[in-house]
Amino acid sequence: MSEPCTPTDDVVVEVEHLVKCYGTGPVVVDDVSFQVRRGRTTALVGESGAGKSTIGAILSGLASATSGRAVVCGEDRSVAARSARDRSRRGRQLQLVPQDPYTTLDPTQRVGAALLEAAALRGVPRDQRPARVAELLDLVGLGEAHADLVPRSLSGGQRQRVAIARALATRPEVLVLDEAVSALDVSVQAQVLNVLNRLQRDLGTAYLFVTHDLGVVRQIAHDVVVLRAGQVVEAGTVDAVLGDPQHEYTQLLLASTPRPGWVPVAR
Amino acid sequence: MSRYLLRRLVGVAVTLLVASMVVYLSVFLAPGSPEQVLFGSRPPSPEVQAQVRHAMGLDQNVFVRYFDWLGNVLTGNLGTSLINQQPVTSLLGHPATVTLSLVAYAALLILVVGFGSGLLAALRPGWVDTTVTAVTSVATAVPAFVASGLLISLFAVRLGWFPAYGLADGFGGWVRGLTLPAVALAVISSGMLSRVMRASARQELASEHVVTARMRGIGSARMVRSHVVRNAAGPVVTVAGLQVAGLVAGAVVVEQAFGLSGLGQLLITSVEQKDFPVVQAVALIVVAAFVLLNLAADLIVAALDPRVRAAVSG
Amino acid sequence: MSRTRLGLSGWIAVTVLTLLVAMAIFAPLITQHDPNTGDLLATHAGPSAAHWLGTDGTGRDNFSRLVYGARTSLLGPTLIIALSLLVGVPLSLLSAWRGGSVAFVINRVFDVLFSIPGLLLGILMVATFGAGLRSAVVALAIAYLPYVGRLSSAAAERERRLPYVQALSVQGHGATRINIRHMLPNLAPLLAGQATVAFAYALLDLAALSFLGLAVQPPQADWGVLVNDHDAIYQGHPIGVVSAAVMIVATVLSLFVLGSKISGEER
Repeated sequence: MSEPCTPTDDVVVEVEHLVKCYGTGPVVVDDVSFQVRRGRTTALVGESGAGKSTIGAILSGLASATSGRAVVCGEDRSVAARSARDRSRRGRQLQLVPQDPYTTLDPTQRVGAALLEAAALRGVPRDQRPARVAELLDLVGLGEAHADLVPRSLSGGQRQRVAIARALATRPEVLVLDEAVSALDVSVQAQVLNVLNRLQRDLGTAYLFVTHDLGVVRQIAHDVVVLRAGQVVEAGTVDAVLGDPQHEYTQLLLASTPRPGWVPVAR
Repeated sequence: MSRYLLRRLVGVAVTLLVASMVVYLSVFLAPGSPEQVLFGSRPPSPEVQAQVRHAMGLDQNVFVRYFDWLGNVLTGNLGTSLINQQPVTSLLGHPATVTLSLVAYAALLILVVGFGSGLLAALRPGWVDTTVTAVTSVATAVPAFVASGLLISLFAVRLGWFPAYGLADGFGGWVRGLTLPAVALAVISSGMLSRVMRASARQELASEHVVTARMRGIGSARMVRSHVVRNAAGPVVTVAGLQVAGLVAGAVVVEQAFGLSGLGQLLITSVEQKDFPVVQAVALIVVAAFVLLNLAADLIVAALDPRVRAAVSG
Repeated sequence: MSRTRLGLSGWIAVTVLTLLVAMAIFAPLITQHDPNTGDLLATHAGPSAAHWLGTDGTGRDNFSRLVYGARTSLLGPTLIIALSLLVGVPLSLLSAWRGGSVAFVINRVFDVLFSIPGLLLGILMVATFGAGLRSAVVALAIAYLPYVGRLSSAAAERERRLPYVQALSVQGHGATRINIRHMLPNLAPLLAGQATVAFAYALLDLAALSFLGLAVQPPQADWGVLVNDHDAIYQGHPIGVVSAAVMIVATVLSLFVLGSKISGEER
């Protein structure tokens, strides 16, 4: 059982020349390379169909790459996990927070039970699991009373926090957040982003933030990779890319994003 | 359409093949072997037994016997009855006619009553709908063997309108003799068909093109015929097909209740006498009829509904 | 299942079914007559204070035969449905989870079983293993397998594609745990509704086999046997037959109503 990443290892996700096509269809991801560093957030932006979610799916083990490498904590994930053991080991390195807060949780399972189950994956001893659940709920700003609720009685923002808490239960090095706040109202979005920023500061978790929303990118990301039709058109720090976009596609994306209204959040 | 037809035909052929294996082998599993039925209570010497087994091909591997049997079945030879040594095919003629008449009569009742009452309920909301729905709901819970007992008590024993048992000669005798059995067989399926018909027709009546047609002033009767019935037909034909196909098996019960010498009664008598070749033959016929009637219903649905036709030929 | 959603008809159905089950369990307390011993001096007696529903051709009390008949009439279908769920549900979960050739084989098995009417399979089983409740129950359990299996594998396939199942898989949970702890509880309402309706049909088919003299054997009281009392019918004393008929119809109708209420609630 390999312990995820060595503390000196700064690059936790390394994607190199990644290519994905389905059957004989079009190339969805076309020679993409980028990195995600410890304690930092890389945003993957682009319109729908740009291939960003496919990259998230390959990294989280839902799909295999056609060629290229997708290395997480030193392990190549270009082939989808076959066994539960593989998935469980990979789950300790990287976790996925999917888009829709209404369908990512088992509707019949109480919040506490979901978190207990996730904590068990990390091998937390049985008697310490309740404390771990309380800690996880606290991390995402929920109270212990929420443990007894089923997803139906939670709001969208609360559900997404539960999904984040569940992902954190395995103490991953990386979280892939696939449009994780896109379905939420702007004010709720800000709350969840605040939680994410605080968690990163406290735990040092790296985020790969998949989104189409440049406003959100400004609030959370350090680095940004702009994708178009499966190819990287521009990459760099958020300040560099969004402050002085070189590629006309990035300029176009920026122009279609309403600039005013976003509030910088303390990182 | 032809590709769909081909695929369905291959599917049906495979299903029938496997079902025939199930039918053949289920009887093979029976404790005691077929020749013991021949010997009765006084078995002859082991040498004679061995000779009989050889003559009947029973000393061969079961799969060899299955394929022999299947080959014979496909050439129209269903074997020889163990009880009266006659070819099984010659035993099937009269029973098949009785069962076919019974099923056809019941199917007619189901289609007329089910279709008609369902459409009536859909077109006349209010007390007509309420009454029809209540009656058909109860009907869906009245199986043939329950209906048989009740019908015999009332119409045969109490009122004496119909015979309680068997068939008299001539066309009139058959119609009179088959009326109560056919009604008994039809009750549960008519109820189901009626409910499906009502639901489909109501859905169609509420749909946009019917509302538009009404606004354009298309007369009610013509609209019912051209729009509602045609568009509601899909689910109704599917259910009707399933129900009519099920009648072939359901007939067993009714024939027993009314003492009709159909295939069902032949099956039960043969089971009791352990006349395996007859059991296998009748079982195979019932399965084949069930599968083919279902196929027919599916094909009618496909032919009626251009949407399904487009979907299946793609 | 919440109280309000059952509605009036649902509550009537629940009441009828509860009374029937109570009747089956407490049969000896409800009637003081033995269902199988008759008073040969009082055959075909009409209803009286001693014999509420009169007596049959051998002087047995119709009411006690009806009450005791509830035992076999309800126990048989319970065994049939339990058996077919026990085999059918794991098969359909397996088919939905593995897909591909596994699903193909399982579906073809269901197709073939579906092509043999339950009643016919019952008759064949009886021909093979001899008349009696056991052969009939096994035969009908096999015959009901495709009904349970087809519907539940379609539902399981839909469930399997929901994001929460993918999320659990990515998180590192094994297939067995996801199927048993997550998919099964979510499919439960649908399975319950389906099982209720299948129970009604199993009751009818089993009673039909008893009616044919192939399942429950005559001295034993069973509604299917009681309905088949030709002697009483032809002699014009149908009260026992009619009351057994009423029991069967009331039970089946209640099960249909309850089944549709349960599955209608499915989220």
